[in-house]
Amino acid sequence: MNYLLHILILINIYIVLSVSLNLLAGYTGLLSICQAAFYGVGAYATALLSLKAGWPWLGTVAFGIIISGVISVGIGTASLRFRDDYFIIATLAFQVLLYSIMQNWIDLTQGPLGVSGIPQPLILGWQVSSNGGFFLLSLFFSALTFLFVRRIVNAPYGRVLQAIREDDLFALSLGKNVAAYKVSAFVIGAMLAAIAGSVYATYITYIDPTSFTVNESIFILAIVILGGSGSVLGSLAGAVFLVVVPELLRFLGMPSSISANIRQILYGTLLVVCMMWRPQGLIGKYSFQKDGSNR
Amino acid sequence: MRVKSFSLVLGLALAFLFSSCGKRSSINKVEVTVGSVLPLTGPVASYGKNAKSGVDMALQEINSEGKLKIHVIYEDDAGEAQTAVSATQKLIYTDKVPLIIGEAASGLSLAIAPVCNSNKVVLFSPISSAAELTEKGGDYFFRVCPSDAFQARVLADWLLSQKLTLVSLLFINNSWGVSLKDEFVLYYTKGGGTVLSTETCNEGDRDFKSHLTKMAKPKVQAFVAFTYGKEGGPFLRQASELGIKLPIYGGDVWGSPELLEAAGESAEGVYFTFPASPKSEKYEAFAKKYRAQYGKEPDVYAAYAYDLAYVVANAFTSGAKTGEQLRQFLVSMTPYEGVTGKTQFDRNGDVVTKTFDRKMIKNGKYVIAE
Amino acid sequence: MLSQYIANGLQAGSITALIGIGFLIIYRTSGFFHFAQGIILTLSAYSVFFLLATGQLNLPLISIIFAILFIYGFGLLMEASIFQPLRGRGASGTTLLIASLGIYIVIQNSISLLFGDDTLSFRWWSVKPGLPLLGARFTTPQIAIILCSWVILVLTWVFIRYSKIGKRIKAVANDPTLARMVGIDVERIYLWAMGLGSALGGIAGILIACDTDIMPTMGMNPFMMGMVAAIIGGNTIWGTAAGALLLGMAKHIGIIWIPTRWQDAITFIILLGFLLFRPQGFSGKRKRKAAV
Repeated sequence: MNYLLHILILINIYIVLSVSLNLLAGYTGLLSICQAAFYGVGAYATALLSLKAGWPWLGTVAFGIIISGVISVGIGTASLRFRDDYFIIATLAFQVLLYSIMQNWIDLTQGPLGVSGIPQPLILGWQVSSNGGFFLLSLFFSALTFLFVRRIVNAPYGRVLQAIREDDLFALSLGKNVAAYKVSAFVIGAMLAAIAGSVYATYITYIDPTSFTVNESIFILAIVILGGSGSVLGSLAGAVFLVVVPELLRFLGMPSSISANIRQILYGTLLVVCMMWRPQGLIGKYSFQKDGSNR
Repeated sequence: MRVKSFSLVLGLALAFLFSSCGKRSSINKVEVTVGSVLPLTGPVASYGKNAKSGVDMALQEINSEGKLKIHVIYEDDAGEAQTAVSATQKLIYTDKVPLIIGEAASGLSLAIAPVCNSNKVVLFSPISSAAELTEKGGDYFFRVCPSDAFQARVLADWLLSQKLTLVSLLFINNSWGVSLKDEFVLYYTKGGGTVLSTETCNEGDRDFKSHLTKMAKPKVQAFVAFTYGKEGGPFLRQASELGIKLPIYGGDVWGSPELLEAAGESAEGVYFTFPASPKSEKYEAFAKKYRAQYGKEPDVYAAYAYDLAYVVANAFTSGAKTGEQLRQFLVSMTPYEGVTGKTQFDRNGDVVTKTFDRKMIKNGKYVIAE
Repeated sequence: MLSQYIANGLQAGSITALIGIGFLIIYRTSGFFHFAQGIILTLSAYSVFFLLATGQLNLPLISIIFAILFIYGFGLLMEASIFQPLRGRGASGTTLLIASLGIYIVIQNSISLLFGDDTLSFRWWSVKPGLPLLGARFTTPQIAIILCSWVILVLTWVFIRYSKIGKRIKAVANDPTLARMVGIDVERIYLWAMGLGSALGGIAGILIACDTDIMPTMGMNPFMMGMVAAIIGGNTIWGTAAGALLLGMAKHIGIIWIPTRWQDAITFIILLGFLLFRPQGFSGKRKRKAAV
């Protein structure tokens, strides 16, 4: 039972991450591979503030959101003049740099030693410590993220984002402040990812930079693409799929020495297959096609 | 009628009662389950597997002896912290073990120690040597291997005794490397030595030309490198290629076969500290049996793990069952004479009876340094 | 001692230039960021290892040539079986990038499965001190890397500039539609570009392995440096070479002042600097993608 809850908690965390990236990549067409960096910012904010400064968990979440927001405004503004491939490379550069800071600024983050013994949350008198408690906590945030993002993408805001995705020059010509919309999507995505980090840190009680690498960013992107770009429900499906299927492999009796590799081969293959035959993903609405056609 | 059915029910009930405790009372065997979190795959798998081999061999003997049967649930963490924490949580919450054998890397011991401590589960490590575990390991952390504080002191004394007072240092940027470096610098500089340059590297790094170039400061007399075998190999090779002829000293991990494999002939003449080799008859017997069973020489961690398993068995035999009781036993036990010599713990869970040797690589073999 | 830093930087710059050119040819001709180039490096090194160390073929030089031919063929296979069909379905550069990423993940993990994650080596020569020159020691692998990289680079440049195929590659790189209209078999040129780029990457991978042995993740960092070199070089061959030298030197001389652990970050800080202030790189023209 506890094991099942553990899986569900992870799914919830990845739902938050993939929905946040979908807003940016699926709806606005800004493919970013630095989402894991913001995930890490939230995690470290919670880890360091609650352990070293005794902040209550919700306070650290708020701080993580703010810091993530500030950093992403900077990154977003700097990157918004790039499109397509160059934008991806710019986000890659930021991801590598943020990771480098996590790894090497030892005085702040303790580098590869990581932060251990992160306190569990005490929210309004409720001490979260069992897997059941964490499940409810993570469920709260994944539901919140899901509903929030779904709300804004169905509103006029979301429509402008999609227009930008299809043809940003055209949107510009209609008088929309394309730059502001792009940055806002980037910032909202970053802030949501930070929340996921805060939940993760307090659940696992130990974090180190290896959870927030380029590979993790690529994994989150894979969830978005495979689940379906441009569809919030798609991100949900993607998160469930990519977290559950590797765990199923474990039950097939596959020795753990190869299950990690097999899991990666699986989702790498899915990416290629997906691009070949179903580029919009499982339930998606956008497929990165050249001529703008959405199959 | 009623009497008949009543006695039938009574008879059945009594039969159930007897059968359920029959297992224990008839064979008089106590069965216990413990957990283990070790890297059985991944970059440091050789340590985890060697430790497991030591535990397995000990348990075969213990379990066949009759009074106690220990069952170990092994979890693999692939060398990753999150997996280690998840595995620990599973062992504690689902399997409800009172003791966990683990971890290997000090950083991972640090990662899972809080969970063990707050749940009063003993964490017993055969390999983690970082000095900070003395305090940060908590009340429930114990280890059979000596803390790096000892190792650092032995190494510092060694260098100073060779009149090598100017060294350059390279350390791997993780728990083990950092704590060893801190302790070493402390003792070395207290003894009058000077560290001219300190460089860091990451696990898996293979290009050390920059580091070596920086370390080769004008008056430097020796290099000290705290890395694993797989970084040590390229490091030593590139040192040769760059024409560096200084004596090079390493930490205990360089005593594992990995280093020789990775460095080849460049390992010739390299010095390192290593947990003191037991020379007793007991150890020889152990090594012989190990060779027969596994087809290779036991490394020191297999030997530590072997003794660890026996200490655990003693704890259970004394009647301890819960984590608290096991801890009480370990803290107050009399020295256990095992294949690695005496084992006894202080109140921090550190073993106080083991020392380090000075060794070197000569003709491709590990020998005691003169 | 400065000369040793320069020697190290020169080595890094040379190999990066080679990798960058391979990446560049594919990027400019086929129009997408071919992330799988990172695994091409690794795959070719493992091929040599497989041929040599498992005793299949005991002559080092022959093994290397076989490995390069294999990787060339592998590149053609990728192009024909995955990228070509994708283009046929109207895939954009982004789609091809994602597919390329998928390929990287699959192959890297397959290598891990087959060969394990430990470092392996196909070294057949013994370690000896390097050649002393101008106060620095040039190790044997270093010399090999520097010489081979530049020779091959020049050969590639000559090929692209003067040969028939080379001119067609340039034409397609400039404008595929126009090239098709002039009668160039564009699909065939894509194959050429991918094959050539892969072969260059393969050679680079083998050279790297001679210096620092092989492990499944060995290709990603050198590839990223090569990619950055191409971007800051403005997407031309000599620009890439210049960018590569800049990156190599900065990385190895920079550590005189900063701790070695920040070495990898230097590459990306330089990249960001260029992206922010001179996105067209050293020699490039303003690209549509680099400005709105």
